[in-house]
Order: sequence, then structure tokens, then C-alpha cells
Amino acid sequence: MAEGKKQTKGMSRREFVSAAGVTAVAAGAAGVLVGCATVPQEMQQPALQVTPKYIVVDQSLCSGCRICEQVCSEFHYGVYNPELTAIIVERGYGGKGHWITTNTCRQCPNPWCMRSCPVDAIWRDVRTGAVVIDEKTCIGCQDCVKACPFGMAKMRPDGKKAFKCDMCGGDPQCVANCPMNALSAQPLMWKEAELVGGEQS
Amino acid sequence: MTNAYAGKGLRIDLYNRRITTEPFTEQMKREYIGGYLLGMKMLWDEYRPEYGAFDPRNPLIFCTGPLTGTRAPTANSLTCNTMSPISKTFVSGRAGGHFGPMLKFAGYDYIVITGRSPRPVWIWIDDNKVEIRDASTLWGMKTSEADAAVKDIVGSEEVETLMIGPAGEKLVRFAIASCNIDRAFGRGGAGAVMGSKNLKGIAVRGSNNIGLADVQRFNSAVKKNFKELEERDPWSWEMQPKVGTAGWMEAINYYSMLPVNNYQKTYDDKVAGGIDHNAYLKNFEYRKYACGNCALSCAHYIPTITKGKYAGLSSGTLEYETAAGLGARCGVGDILAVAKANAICAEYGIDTISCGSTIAWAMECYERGLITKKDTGGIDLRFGNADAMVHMTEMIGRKEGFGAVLSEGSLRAASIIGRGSEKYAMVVKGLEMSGTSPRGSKCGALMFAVNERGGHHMDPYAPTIEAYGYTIAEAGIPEALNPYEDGNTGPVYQLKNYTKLADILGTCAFAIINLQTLPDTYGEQFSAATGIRMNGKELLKRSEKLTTLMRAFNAREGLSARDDTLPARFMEEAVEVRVPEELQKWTNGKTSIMRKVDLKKNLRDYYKAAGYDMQTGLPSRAKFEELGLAKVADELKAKGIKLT
Repeated sequence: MAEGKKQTKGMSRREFVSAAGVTAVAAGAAGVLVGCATVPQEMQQPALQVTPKYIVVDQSLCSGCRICEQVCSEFHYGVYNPELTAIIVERGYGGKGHWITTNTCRQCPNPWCMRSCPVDAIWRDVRTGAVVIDEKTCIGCQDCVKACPFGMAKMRPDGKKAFKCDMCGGDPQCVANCPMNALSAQPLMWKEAELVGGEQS
Repeated sequence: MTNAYAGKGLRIDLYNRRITTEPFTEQMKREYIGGYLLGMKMLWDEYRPEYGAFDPRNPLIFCTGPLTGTRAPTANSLTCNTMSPISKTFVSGRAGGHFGPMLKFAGYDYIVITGRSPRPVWIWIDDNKVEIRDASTLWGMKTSEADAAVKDIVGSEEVETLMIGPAGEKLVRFAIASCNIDRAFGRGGAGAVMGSKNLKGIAVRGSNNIGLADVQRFNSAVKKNFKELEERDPWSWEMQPKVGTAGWMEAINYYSMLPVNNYQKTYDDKVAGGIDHNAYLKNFEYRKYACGNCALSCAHYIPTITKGKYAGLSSGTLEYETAAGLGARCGVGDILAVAKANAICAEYGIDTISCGSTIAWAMECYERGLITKKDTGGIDLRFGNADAMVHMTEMIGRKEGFGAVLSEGSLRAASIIGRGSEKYAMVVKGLEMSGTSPRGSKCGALMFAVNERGGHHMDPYAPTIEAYGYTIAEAGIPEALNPYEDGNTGPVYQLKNYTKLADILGTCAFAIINLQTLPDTYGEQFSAATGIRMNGKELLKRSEKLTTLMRAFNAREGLSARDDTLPARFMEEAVEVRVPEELQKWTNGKTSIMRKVDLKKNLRDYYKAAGYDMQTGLPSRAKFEELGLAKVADELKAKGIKLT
């Protein structure tokens, strides 16, 4: 698989998309799409089963309560920890002026984190469209953390594994629990030629 | 076992520069839970009546509750207990913001600070690394400057700070300790205690986990709690995010509970109209700002005031109590002046309620000729003089001129001035009363009189409960109360214990103030979070323990039933109270009544319900034993205080 990735890096984007599609179909044949046996032929063509979405923040509604951070770490790890959240409420208040900016993963069409990963631990989940990190494969090298232009790939406090927003398997908990309705999951905008990923490992 | 407690406390001796941690034992968790109750227990153990507030041995105790830092609604409390420099008794305050959760993420349930540092210091808590650092460059800074400077020093914005301003350093007796500028330990002078220890502030950053004993059960309890908040108090649910507590001004004026002109009147449409939420929305662009885990988001900040002579000023939230203290109480119906004074209070670090109250006292004395321009330094301290109010606020913050007298608080200032001015100091147990007039609500009157902390507006916030006719069978109010007929105040005891639940568990009073969260929902959340099985009833026993412990502390300080009283004004001067339509059923359709408070009647019923002795104001020894406070009872006995 790692070799395949190395090859795709050399491909044009167009080629990659078709290659990715082929991979997914192959994976489907191998049983990943079990339960979708009656999916019509044309539906199996795109690699993704859903339109990829990402979490959009209406910054003017956000009150900075950090409930999104809390539910994020609780949903994924069963604990609360401000360093263990894939949505980040950045706050400057007090003497540093008054601002709140909530930052989320863009689930980029062509993600820097995915491209930087040396062990192919990052891929786009075909079921949710989210770019996810496979924690078993992750070696904790921090390349994705350095690569992400938004600072949304983070290391766990123990420093052993990276993590990022995985859209909670399709039902983002931060969106469901935001009391100000400042968060929503919106379809990712991309030019077809640019969407990278869509393979299932 | 994972649970919502961090499991240890931090103890800092500033004089010896000794930092130690201590385990928060299972038995302590079960018996004293957290928050005020834990803080009071430690204060009882470590404080002695002979110390006094500014003694280095006076412990300064900050506690979180078990729910603090979880996502239970409004779980963001940090509580503070210490001896108060202004009142005759203790400080017991809570602050929201994000400091409480962050302290727990750093791995500590509580901090106890003792000793006085020879030089100004601040404390830096970064997970396991705790340092006492030099604060000579921070000393003298306003709260926002100190906050920014500390963030620069540690090189991170992800830091929560608790700072005092110049007023705290100069020992203004009602100085606050301010959490991220907008939230604060307001009442009782915790900031002055910090100043007396040469402690400029604390900064904390944490990256530890707060676990839960049973995640699924906790989530369903949280869901239930949210539903209660929404259904049992739709007004707050809808209005708090829009206007915050500023929205109360109109209602409190409507119900004739506004402390206009130092409590001489109970309503004033013109003054209230100038400082209510309509004026607020008209004059300010604001942005919401929520404390941690809070869906209500009552706080706002006003980035910049664009109009009037205060243009360019930015201010924190204009709370109701601030507008009532600096506005209505001083007869000032100008929201811009109130915002300016509020900003001064926040920057210098002073309590807006005590500050407004003390200025109002001076204004009344000035109008009655007890204070002259010679005393005030040429300031025309009349009711309604907005400029004088703003000027005096700044003088108090700087402790200059007449401000130095006022910075001692109403009671001490009155004894400095003399001339019979004590009569106009609106204080209970030495602490200035907050902004609801006792005449419009009998339980409101009682709430002030029997409050262990002095003239404090919390536990319970009885005026709204009476005015809106809220009921809660679980806490002894099965039907609405008559606000105008004295007597029959027994239910307040249970109500008081009920509203203390929030303080113990680490959530905000706004989750309980209008009787939203039921005791059993708290029990469920507490059990699921900590793994300690306890239902609502058992939790209520813990609150009763807290009330009793507070009473015992007061008794040890020499207070008794005699101190459960109000300023004479409320018992002697009958003042017109407008009766709103929905409450006219209590007055046989009369739209306006003359009212003074018959406190004796109210107290009698309350004492009876609480089982207190009429002389000492203490429960029986059997009650102490029932609540597991036998040792406390022994100590009282050794002090020569008789228990029935």
C-alpha cells in the first residue's frame, strides 16, 4: 500500500483520481462494501459514498463556551481534555483584546497532512468523506502536524500519536451540541480534478 | 478508577516558598464533595478567629467542584473561601470563566495559599510544574495589563489567569480577584486578601484528562439537565444569550425591587429606563462571551463604545447588579456612565456592588448634610450626578482623596465619618447589600438577613422566585409564595440548601437560580461523573451541612441571631411598592401598597423551619451530629457557645 502511495504521488491529479476510484471499486469487490450489494453500477463508480463535508463555523455566533471541544474529546476518548480536541476554540480576551476564533479541519480536497504522511496512515474515509488518521499505522512523526496549514492535525498530549477531525463517523458531535448553532457541516467545495483520496485502507 | 476528580490539591506557602500537593481522599470526596463545602471545611480547620483577614495565616482557598470541567451545563466554577476584610465573616465567592476547568485540567481540585511573600509574586501552574515567580514588573498593573503581561511571559494565549488590580494591591477592602477580566470573585474582598499576601495572581495551563466514571449515563443526565433548563425557565434560556442579566433591570423595576437612591425608593422608571436592556442594546455593539461549558452565555463584552464622551472605552459585561449598584442605587440613569464606571472597576479590580453601594451611602449622607464638600474634596455628590459617580469610582480604585475613606466599605467609612451616617450604610454583617430591595419581596428581605456571608444576593435568589411564582416540590416550595405578607418564610431554608447545590458541585447559579435543575438530576450527574452513588436527597444533606458549617463559622467569629438583621430603614420606613398585575391576587387588587418589612415574623418562621435556636442562631447538637459535624459542635462548645 505504501508503495502504491509513492506511485500516486508521481501521478497527475487526474490520474490519481481515476486510480483512487479504481482502488475503491477493488476494495468494494473485496468486501468493504458488504451490505451494499444492490448498489447500482453507476453508484459504485465514485470512490466516495457521500459528498465530503467539513465543519463550518459562523464566527459571529460563537460564544467561546468550548462545549464543542468538550464533546469532541469525550466522544473520541471518553475524557475531557483541551489538548485532545480536533476543534479548537482560540480565545484572546482580557488584556489581549476580545476575540474568539473557532478553528476546524477543512477536510481539504488535496490534504497536506495526507501528502506528508510517510507511512500512509492518513486517508479519506469513503463512508464519511473525512480525512482520517489510522492510529495503528501512525508512527507519531509529527509530519502532518507540521504540514497542516491550519494547525488542525495535533499530537496527543502523550506525544505518541497524531489525531485530527474525523467528522465523528458522519455525525459530528460538535455540530449536534453547539448551543449557539454556530457550527454546521457543509459540503466540501472542490474542483473534480482536485479531490484526492477516497481510498479505503 | 477514572472519575471527574483530579484527585489532588495544591498547597502553596508563599513565605517559605514551599509547594506541596496532597491527595484528595475518597472519604473527603464523599463527605465534602467540593466547591464551597470543601472550601468552608478547610477554612474552618485552618482559620482561627484571632487571625483577621490580612493575617498571613489566613488561608486563601480556591476549590473546583466535581462537575467543573465536565460538560455538565454551566460546569465552570471556581470557588474562593477566605476570611473577609470587609464583612464580619468569611468570603465565599464563585467565579465562572475558564479558570476552574483549566485548574482541573492541570490536575488539581483545589489550591490553598497561605503566608505572605516578602516581595510581589505570581504563581505559574503548568500541569505538574508549579512555580512562584517574581511579580515586581507586574505590580501596579491594571488587571488587563497584568493578564496580557503574564501571557507574554509564558508565551502562550492558552493560559487562564486570575489577577488582582491596583485596588487589591492597595488593600481596598472590596477588591476583587478577576478571572480573565470579565468574571470575578466579586463580593467580600478576596482581591484584598491576595494583595495582603503580595500575590498578584495565578496563571494556569493544563493538559490532563478529566475522566468520567460512566460516560453514557453522564450523557443522558446532561441531556436531561439541558431539557430542564429549557423547559423550566424558558425566559433565561431565550434571553440570557441576547441581553444577559442586563435584561433583569426592567423586570426588577416592574416588580418594585430596585434599590433607587440607596433604597429610598423601590422603583424609578426614568432611571431604570436609562440603564435597562433597551438602552443597552441601543448604545452598544456587543459580542457574546460564554464561560466554559455554558449554553446560556449571559456574559457579553462591549468591544468599543462609539458614542458620547466615553467614546473609545471598551467594557466587559454590564451585569444587572452592576447597573443596579452604580446606576439605580446612585440615581444614575445613564448607561454610558455606568459602563465607564464598570470598566474602571474591572481595570482597578473592585467590586461594583460594594463600590456602588458605598458611593450611594456617601450620596445620601451628602444630601442630608452629614458629608460636605470639605469631605468629598469639592465633589458634588448628589444622587443622579453621573460624573461624580464615575469620578468617585476612580478615586476608590486609586485609594486617593475621599476615595480612600470609601475604599474601607460603607460600614467602616460610616464609622470614620460618624455624625449618625451609620444609619444609611446598607450593610448586613458588614457586607453591602446587593441590588434587590427587600420591600418588594419578604423572602428577599429574609435572604439578606439570614445570609451567612452578609448582604449577599445568592442562595437563594428569592425575589425572582416570589415574583414569578416559581415552584419546586423537591425543595419545599410546592406552591407560589406571597411576596407581601410577612411570615410563612419557612420554605426559604430548604430553598437555600437547594440552591447551594450548584456551589458545591461546581456549576453556575444560573443553572439553579430559577429552580431549573432538579436535585435528582444533579445526583445523577454527580454519580455518573464520580462513581460515588448519591441521589438528590443525599446531596441536599451536603448542602445543609454547608449551611450549618457557615453558621458555625459565624458563631465562632462571635456572631449570633442578633446579626441576622437588616438595616433599620427597611423595618422603619414604609415606602410605596407598585404591585404588578399578576401579583395583585395577593393584595386584593390593590395596585400600590406602602410596605416595610416585619423581619421578626419572617425570622421566627425561618428559624423554626431550620431548627435554629432563637438566641444563637444555631441548630441543635443533634443536627450537627446528624450531618457529621460533631467535631465542629465540640469546638463551639469549647468556645463557650451553648448548643441546644
